[in-house]
Amino acid sequence: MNWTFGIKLAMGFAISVLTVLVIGVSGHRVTAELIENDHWVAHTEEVKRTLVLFLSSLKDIETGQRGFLLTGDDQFLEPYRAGLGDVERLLNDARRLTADNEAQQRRVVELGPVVDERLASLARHIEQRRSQGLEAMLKPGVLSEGKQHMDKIRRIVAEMDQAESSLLAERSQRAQQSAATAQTTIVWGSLLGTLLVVIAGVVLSRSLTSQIGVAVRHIQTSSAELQAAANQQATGAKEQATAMSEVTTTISELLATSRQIAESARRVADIASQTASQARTGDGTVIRGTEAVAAIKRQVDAIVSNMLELGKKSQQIGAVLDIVSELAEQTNILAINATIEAAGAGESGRRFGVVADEIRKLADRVGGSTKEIRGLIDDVRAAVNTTVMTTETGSKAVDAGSDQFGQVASAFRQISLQVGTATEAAKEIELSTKQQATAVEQVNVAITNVAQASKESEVSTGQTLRTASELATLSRDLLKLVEAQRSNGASRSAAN
Amino acid sequence: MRQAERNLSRVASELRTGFDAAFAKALAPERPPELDLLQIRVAEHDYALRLSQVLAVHADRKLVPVPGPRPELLGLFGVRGVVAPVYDLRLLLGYQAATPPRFVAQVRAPAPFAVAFELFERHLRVPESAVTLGGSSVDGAHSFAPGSVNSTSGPLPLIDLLAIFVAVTSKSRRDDAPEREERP
Repeated sequence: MNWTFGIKLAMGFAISVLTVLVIGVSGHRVTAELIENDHWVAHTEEVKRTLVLFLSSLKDIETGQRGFLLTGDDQFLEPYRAGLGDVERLLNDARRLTADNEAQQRRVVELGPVVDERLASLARHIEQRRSQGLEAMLKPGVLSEGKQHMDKIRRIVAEMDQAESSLLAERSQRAQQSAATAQTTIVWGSLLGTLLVVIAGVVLSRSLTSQIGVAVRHIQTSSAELQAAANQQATGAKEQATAMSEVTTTISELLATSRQIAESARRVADIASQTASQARTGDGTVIRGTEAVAAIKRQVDAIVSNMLELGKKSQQIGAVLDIVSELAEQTNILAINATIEAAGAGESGRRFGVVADEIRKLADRVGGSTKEIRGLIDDVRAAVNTTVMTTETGSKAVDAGSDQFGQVASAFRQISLQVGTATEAAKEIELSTKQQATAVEQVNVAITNVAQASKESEVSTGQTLRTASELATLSRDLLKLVEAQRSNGASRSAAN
Repeated sequence: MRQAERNLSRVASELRTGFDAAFAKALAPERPPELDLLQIRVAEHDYALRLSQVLAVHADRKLVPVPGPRPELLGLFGVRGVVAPVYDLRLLLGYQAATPPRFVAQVRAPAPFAVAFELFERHLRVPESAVTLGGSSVDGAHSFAPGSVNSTSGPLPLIDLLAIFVAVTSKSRRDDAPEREERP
């Protein structure tokens, strides 16, 4: 039968409970019967004790009455008076206690008048003693008057006591039988219940051990797999937490970079705006520069013309200087010749020689100066030539510069347009970068949450791992318990 | 240029002062004997001529070529009614002559004689003690320049024009003698 654990346990407990109930009910019934028998035994004992007390009270009454009769002292009447109440009460008790016994009731009824007569006799003698004194009591037949009543009372009481004793013996026997029955019921019921519980326990143990063993092995296997999975998950969660931490750091850096880019883009936009303004200003400046270059070109042309004229003048100066040099040379030669002639003229030519010598010196120095002037003129002409060439080169450069200025002006206009485009692009970049920074912030928040979740997952995974480890340990312990129980059961089966 | 202008101004001032001083200066007292020389340039070498051996110096004078076997004879030129043969001093001193010489020095000799050279440098006046005769080791020394003179620009070979005249004249006589002997 493929019963569940609940059904099996319920069946086992039901058998046990039913057994306990049967034993309990039987025990209760037997115990109740035993209690009833004991009650009746006690009742009988009480009746007998009441009868004994009744006779004793009558004896006290008679004893007190006799003491008074002998002494005349009322002090001896105390037991008499106490006994009167007790006799009445005890008689009523006996009537009440024997209400279920007709024979005893008849004896109580029979006992009542006798007791009354006896008490009346005692009371009459007390009055006689009081009134007639002790001598009247000593008369024959006076004191023996009550002996008949007492004998009758003793006989009736003895009959009642005998009846009660018979009932006591009967009831004691029944009580003993009830006790024996209760003992038997309890012992055998307990044995039977124990046997049934043991059988149910063995059956349940075997069945549950088998199923629990299989389940525990499954649990052990599953817990091992769960432990391995939790271990991997813990490692993965740790790596994930680490990765998320790195991602968080990277996102933070990316956020800072995005902000820097946004700031840079804003600066670029500002600079681009300024550049556009300056480009427009530069366009006007270039136009003015073009005009200035044209003026420079005209000035350079004038300089070239003037330098060429200067070159011509230098050539003319050179020509004149050639004449001067030649004249100086001729003068020098003439002076030398005059010196020679003066030397040939003797003493009379000596004065003329001095003049000729001075003329020669002067011509010589003029010749030297002419050479220096020649060198200077050559330098001037070379400088003029160089200047002319340089100026022509400068004129060409100015022409090229003018053309380039035109190109620069065109380029400036193009730059102005492109800078405007760049400004718009920079603004779009700034806007996009701000949106990107906002998105990165949102991503950062999300990543932070994910990182927090990863850390919590790491903690939960660690808890899961510990729980899986504890579960594996518990499953091993449980399997050990199950295996030990099975081995014990097998060994007991083998022993039987 | 400014330095050159200042130099020119200074030179002009000195010339002017010197010219004026020449008229105010008294006659020079007796001085130690001095020697007047002419510094010339021959084939890129500087030489000195004794002014006492020169009658006159001429420049850019036209020479009349004379055909003959002697390449150093450049031609004839006339001055003040005198016709003198002109010899190339470069060839006489053993140099090569590439261009025609510009200056001609008329030599004070027994017969009309002149030598031509490329450039007249300047007039020199040195004490006679500055002249060294014979055994000169100055660059450009020649048999026609046996001595030397120490000038402000260094030692110069001193050409003996009379020796050249004698040598040229003697050579001409030797060359002319066979012709006369051949004549009847």
